[in-house]
Amino acid sequence: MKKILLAALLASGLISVQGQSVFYSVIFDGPSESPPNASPGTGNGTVSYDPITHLLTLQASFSGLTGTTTASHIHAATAVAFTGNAGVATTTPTFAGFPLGVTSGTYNNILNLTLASSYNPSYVTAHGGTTTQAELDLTAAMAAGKAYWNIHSTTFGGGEIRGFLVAVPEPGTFALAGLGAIGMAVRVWKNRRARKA
Amino acid sequence: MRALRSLVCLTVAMVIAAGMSLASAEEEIMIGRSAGGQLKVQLDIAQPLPLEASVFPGISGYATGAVGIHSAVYDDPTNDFFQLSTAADFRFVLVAKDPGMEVWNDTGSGFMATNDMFFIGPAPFDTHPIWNIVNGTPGNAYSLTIKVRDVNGVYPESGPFVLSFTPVQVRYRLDLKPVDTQHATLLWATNAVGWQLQSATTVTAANWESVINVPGFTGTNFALSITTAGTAQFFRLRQP
Repeated sequence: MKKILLAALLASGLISVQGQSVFYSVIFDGPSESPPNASPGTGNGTVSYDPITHLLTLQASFSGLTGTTTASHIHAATAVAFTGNAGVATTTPTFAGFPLGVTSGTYNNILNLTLASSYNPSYVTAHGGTTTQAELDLTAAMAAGKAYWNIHSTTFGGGEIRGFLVAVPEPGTFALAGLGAIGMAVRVWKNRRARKA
Repeated sequence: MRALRSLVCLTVAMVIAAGMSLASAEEEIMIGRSAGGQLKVQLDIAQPLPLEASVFPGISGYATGAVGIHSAVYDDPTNDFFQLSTAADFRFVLVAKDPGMEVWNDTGSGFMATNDMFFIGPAPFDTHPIWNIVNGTPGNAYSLTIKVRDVNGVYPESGPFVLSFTPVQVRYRLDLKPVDTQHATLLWATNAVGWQLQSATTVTAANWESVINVPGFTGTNFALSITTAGTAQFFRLRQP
C-alpha cells in the first residue's frame, strides 16, 4: 500500500510539472466561417500555451479545400465567444512555413509570444504596444473562446475553413481523475478486507 | 573518412545550390476612415512588392496571396486613421490594370475585369486576393489601381490607389544536418511547393535526377534522411 501511495504522490508531482500548459483543440470547417460557406474542407488542430516558457505550440492538418492555401493566422478577439470576426493577432502575412498553394497539408510550429515577430504588428500596437500585453490579451481571448484559427484560400479570400480555439482538459487532469478512481478502488478494497477480517 | 568526404561534398553542394529565400516583410493593405468619415487606405508595403513564382496550381507566372486587405484594428488620431463602422459592407473595385498584371476574383474563378467588385465584407475583415503577374520581366514594375466601396453607403467611396509589383526569382535554402557518421538530414522550407529535390554524383553533372523518397516534416521544413556512407552525392532544389 505504501508503494501505491508513493507512486501516486510521484505521479502527482509529475502532473503538476506538466500541468502548466493550457491546451486547446480546433475543428476547422467552412460553416464556421463568417460568413459561412459550403466548403467540403475540414481539418483539426491543437494549440497549447505554456505561460512559463511563453511558447505557443501549433499543430494542424487539413484537407478537401476547394482552393489552394494563401495564408493562415489566429485572429482575436471577437466581441462574442465562438462567433463573429476579429483582426489578425499572429504573424502576418501568414504563419511562417505554413504550406501555401495546397488543398491539404499539415503544419507544426512554435511561436514565442515574447517576440514581436510572433504577432501582427497592428495587434501589438492595439494592445499596449508591448508583447507582454499582447500575450496577455491573446491568451485571455483564447481562454474566453474569442480566438479562431483561419485558413485562407484562392477561392475564399476571407477564409475557407476556420475553427475557434476550444479549451480542453490537459492530460494531467485526466491523470488526476484516474488517480482519484484508483484511490477510491483502494479504499473500497481495504474496507472489504477489513470487514472480512 | 569516406563518410566524412561525402559530407564535405554534400556541404559544398549545399553552398552551390543554396540561395537565400526572400524574407517576408509586413505586407498589408489597411482600410480605415478619417475622423470626417472618408475612407482611407494605408499601404504597409514597400512598392513595387516582389512577387515570387506562383505556387498555386492553375495560376501561372508570379503570384501571392500574402498581401492581405485588413480593417483598422485601433484608432490612430495622430494619423487621422480610425476603425470602421460594422454597419458598412465593403468591396474593392478594380479601376485599372497594366498589361500582364491581374488580380483574381473573389471566387478564384478568373481574373477581375475593370469595374468588377471583390467581396470584402463588414469590419473587422481580413481577405487575401491573389495578385498575379501573368507575363512579366524581373526588374519591371506592374500596377493595379483599385478603390474601396461601401455598398451600404455608410461611407463615400475611397479615392483610387495604386499597388505595384515586380517579378522576382527566388531560391530556397537547402540545409544539411549531420545525424551520425552514417546519416544526415536534408532540410528545406515547406513553402518551396513545387520545387524538386535532385541529386547527382558530380556537381557539374549534366543530368541531375529527382529524388523520389518522400520527405517528412520537421517544424516548418521538409526533412529527408540520407546516408552519407559510400559515393559522394550532391543535392540541389530546382523549380521545374
